[in-house]
Amino acid sequence: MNLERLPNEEKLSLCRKYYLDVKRSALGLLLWTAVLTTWITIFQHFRAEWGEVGDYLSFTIPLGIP
Amino acid sequence: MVVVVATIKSVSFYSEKTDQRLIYTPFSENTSSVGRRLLNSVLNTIIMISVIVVMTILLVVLYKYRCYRFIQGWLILSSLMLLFWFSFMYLGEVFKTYNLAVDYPTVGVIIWNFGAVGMICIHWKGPLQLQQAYLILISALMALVFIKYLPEWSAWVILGAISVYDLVAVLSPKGPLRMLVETAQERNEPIFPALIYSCESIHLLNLQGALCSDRSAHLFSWRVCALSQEGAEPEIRPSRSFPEDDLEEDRGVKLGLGDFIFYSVLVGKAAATGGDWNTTLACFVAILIGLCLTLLLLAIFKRALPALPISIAFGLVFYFSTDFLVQPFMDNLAAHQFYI
Repeated sequence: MNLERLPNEEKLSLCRKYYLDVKRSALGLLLWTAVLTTWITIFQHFRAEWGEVGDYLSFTIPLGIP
Repeated sequence: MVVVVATIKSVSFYSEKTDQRLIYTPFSENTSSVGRRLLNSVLNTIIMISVIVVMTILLVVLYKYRCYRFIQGWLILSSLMLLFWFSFMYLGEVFKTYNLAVDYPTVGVIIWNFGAVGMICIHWKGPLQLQQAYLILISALMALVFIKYLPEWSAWVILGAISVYDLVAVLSPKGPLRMLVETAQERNEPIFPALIYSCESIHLLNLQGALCSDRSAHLFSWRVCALSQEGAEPEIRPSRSFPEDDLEEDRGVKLGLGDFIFYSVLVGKAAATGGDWNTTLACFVAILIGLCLTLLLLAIFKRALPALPISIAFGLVFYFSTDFLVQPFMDNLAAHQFYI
């Protein structure tokens, strides 16, 4: 399917469909950024206090004295 | 290559000497005498090269007998392993270096996204720049693994031997790579996208009007690397470079992924052991010059060419000469405050 050969009407409808996907994707991005930021802040803040659970959840544990 | 150098310089994990070796290089290099060390490295090289040769021949045979599903499955498995497992390790090391605490869920999300997008991009469809970026990243990862796990002298000998093999395999009439190219051309099929890096065209290569099917007349490089940490086998083919003349957007020179890997290994080794920016820069420049020369030859000969030999030869020459000649020279100059 070659983009140049489509008549204009179909091109427009195609654009609309894809744009909807782009909007949905942007929404998803926003959502995920929010969730991730919240989780990371919580984790970094409370990691030491959670003791064993914090260690268990940790992928890397920094060395040294905080 | 820049990614590899940056990583080597910053993350010490990759430049620490370790006695852990790939099963493909079973001979240690910690031996006392020079002769023994040389012998061991040569033996390592022979093993590695024979593995590569076997893999290449296997691939060509599979291709000839049209076992496409098998090849595809193999490629998917290996790219899966590269994208997920190696990047996981890499991320872990980077975080350890910067002493950050990261939790498993976050890492999981990152790796999952990276890997999934990578798989889609490489094996299916996706924007060209993204595909290029992913291919570069996985080549860099592979190169880093090589740099870490190959003992010193073996690495240099392997680089040399691989260039020779590349030359032989591509140019000689019975060479596996040449047969692969020709078979692909006869059948007018594209080579598997997971193996090739394609750039946008340089219009002066746009000469063959007669070959107008999808990606005909490709010169490409193959490199087979069998790498195993736990038995899974990613592979990349030995390389040659390819001009592509086509009606669609995928015109341009195609370079095999193995090329990237070995160039990166050369520069990375120079950065890790050469100890100085002079050496690293010299190797960098040498490889780029070699690549330009290869492209030039490509334009002249218009057939599959091995991309490795010239660049690696230049790189090696520059590395050793810079390390042993230029370095003491510059040190002495600086020590005596003598400016040229």
